[in-house]
Amino acid sequence: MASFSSSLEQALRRALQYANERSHEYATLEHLLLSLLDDRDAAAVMRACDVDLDLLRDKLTGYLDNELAGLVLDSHNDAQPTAGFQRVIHRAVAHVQSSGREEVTGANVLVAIFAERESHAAFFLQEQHMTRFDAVNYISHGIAKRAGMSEPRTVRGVEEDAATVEGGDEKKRGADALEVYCINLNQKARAGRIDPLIGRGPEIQRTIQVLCRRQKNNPLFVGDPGVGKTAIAEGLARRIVMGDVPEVLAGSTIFQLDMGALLAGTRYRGDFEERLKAVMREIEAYPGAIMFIDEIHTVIGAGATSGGAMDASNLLKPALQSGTLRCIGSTTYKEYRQHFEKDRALVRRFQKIDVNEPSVPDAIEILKGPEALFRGLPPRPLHAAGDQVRGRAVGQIHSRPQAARQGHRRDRRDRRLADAAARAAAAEDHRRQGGRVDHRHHGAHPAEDGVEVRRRGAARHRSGSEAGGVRPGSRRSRRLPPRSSSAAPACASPRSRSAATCSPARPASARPRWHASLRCCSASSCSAST
Amino acid sequence: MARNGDTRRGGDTGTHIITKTRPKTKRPSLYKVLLLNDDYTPMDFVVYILERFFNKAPEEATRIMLHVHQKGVGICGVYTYEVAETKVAQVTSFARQHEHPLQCTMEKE
Repeated sequence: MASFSSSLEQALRRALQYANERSHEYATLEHLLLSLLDDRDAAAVMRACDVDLDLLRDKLTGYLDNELAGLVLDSHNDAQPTAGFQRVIHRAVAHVQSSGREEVTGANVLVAIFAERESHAAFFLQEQHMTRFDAVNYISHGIAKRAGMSEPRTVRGVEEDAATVEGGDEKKRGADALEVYCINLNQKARAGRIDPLIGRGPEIQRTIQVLCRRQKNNPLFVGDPGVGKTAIAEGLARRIVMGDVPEVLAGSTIFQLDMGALLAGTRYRGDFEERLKAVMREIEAYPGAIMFIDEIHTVIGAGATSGGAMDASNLLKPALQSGTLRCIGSTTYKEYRQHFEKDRALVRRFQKIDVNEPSVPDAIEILKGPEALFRGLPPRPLHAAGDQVRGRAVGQIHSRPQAARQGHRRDRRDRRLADAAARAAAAEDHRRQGGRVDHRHHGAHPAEDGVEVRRRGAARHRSGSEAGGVRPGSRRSRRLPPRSSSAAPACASPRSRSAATCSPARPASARPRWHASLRCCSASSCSAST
Repeated sequence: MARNGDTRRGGDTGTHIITKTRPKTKRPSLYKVLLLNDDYTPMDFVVYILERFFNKAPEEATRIMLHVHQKGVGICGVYTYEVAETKVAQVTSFARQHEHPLQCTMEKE
């Protein structure tokens, strides 16, 4: 049994109310149309069919007030719906029922009004060149008469299948694309899930400058992994929320595009493009919206069929160019070189902003930041009594540049400073709580392959002094093949020998040290030769 | 030769203006609601109907009733289509309830 949508129910009540207010004997289709102007579904259809709602409202109220004088009754009986009114509602319900839907919306009623050829309601709509065909065309396929109002709609039937398979899919289609495929960083910041940005003054300044341009207003953060590119975008959102930005950016909202959500569940050719277009359309329509695409190199080639040049980046280009879409990108130097730079047309639409490793003092501030946050105190000077943990972590950061220079490489050589600092601090915390953790292994990423671990293992044995952190049966020993674990110390400790045994043709000094040990360890013949 | 004629009409460029006719929407017409005479419906019933459904004063109702009686048909009012048809339906069903063969129709003005 079909039921009225709540919005339509209100509209019907309103229609009777309009008639009662004017003490009309009947509620006519014109009363109904006037009330449908405030119904979400019906208004959307009319707008898509290029109907000037304000003009229509004026005409309808003028008609009701002036031309229906014959209907005014002195007695205060409730207005009754006319036969035409009832027929229209009946027709809408019958249509909804016969098409197997459950809810009668204002749009269905609007279509049903057109069948009343001699009514002024239909006349007023036709006067604005809206026809029944326009309405049903929009409702069924989202094809709007007014340019730019079309919305993608899946063919009915297909939709049903998808909904039964996925269940939650229905919601995705109904909800705003922005909500589904983007993360609202402003909301995240408001919820307190973004830490304040420390340092990065020049980068933020530059970003704001670029964003405020009229054209080419798309900053692109390029920096090594872990230096805090994402943090800058998030920090900007936080500052917008706090009101700590120039006036031009004050009302802005940053949406982080979730490429994963955008791709997930795209079944047919064009699904992906459809979603991306929907997101872009909503971003453009949203006042002050800024799109943030983390790992922006992923848009290159995304959604492209074999060899086709039509991928996500090409969909973005026109909007980027015209300045209607403000987009912050972020990527690493490696990906920038490998993928991004290849597409020169895309590069020129962005303003590259280099994000360097934060300075040592900034890294220390970053460490102090969250601590103060946890304790609800302003950041305290480090090295104070009782603050040894942070102090030691900070000490490590301090030592890092020197260490790097001296070739000691005491901490993670593959991590950059902001990230390295946070990890060092985490390791120190853990150590203080009694866990014996080698800080190098503590942060090892699960995805790191055996080569990485072996490389580290070799490096440890070379330095020799820090072996205490590894427990028996730790990851290193598990991952290493049994033979090479005995081989690693043998070939790694004296540099010259390892180089000589493995590849005597090249001088040892020409290669990075770890390289030599790596090759040595991975070569199964190595232990045999020593 | 027809070709030449065409080019001459469109000037040297050979272009024409395509005219597109657009139907102009007509304002909906109004409808008269009529009562038809018969020999069985009492006069006071017709007067009552005119008063109740057409909001007429007693004198005017009587006048219309007599008009129907003498000329065979009388105009009760002029309304839009949907109002007219609603009134016709109401009058007809009310007359049926009281078992009078009164006929009420509508006619385009």
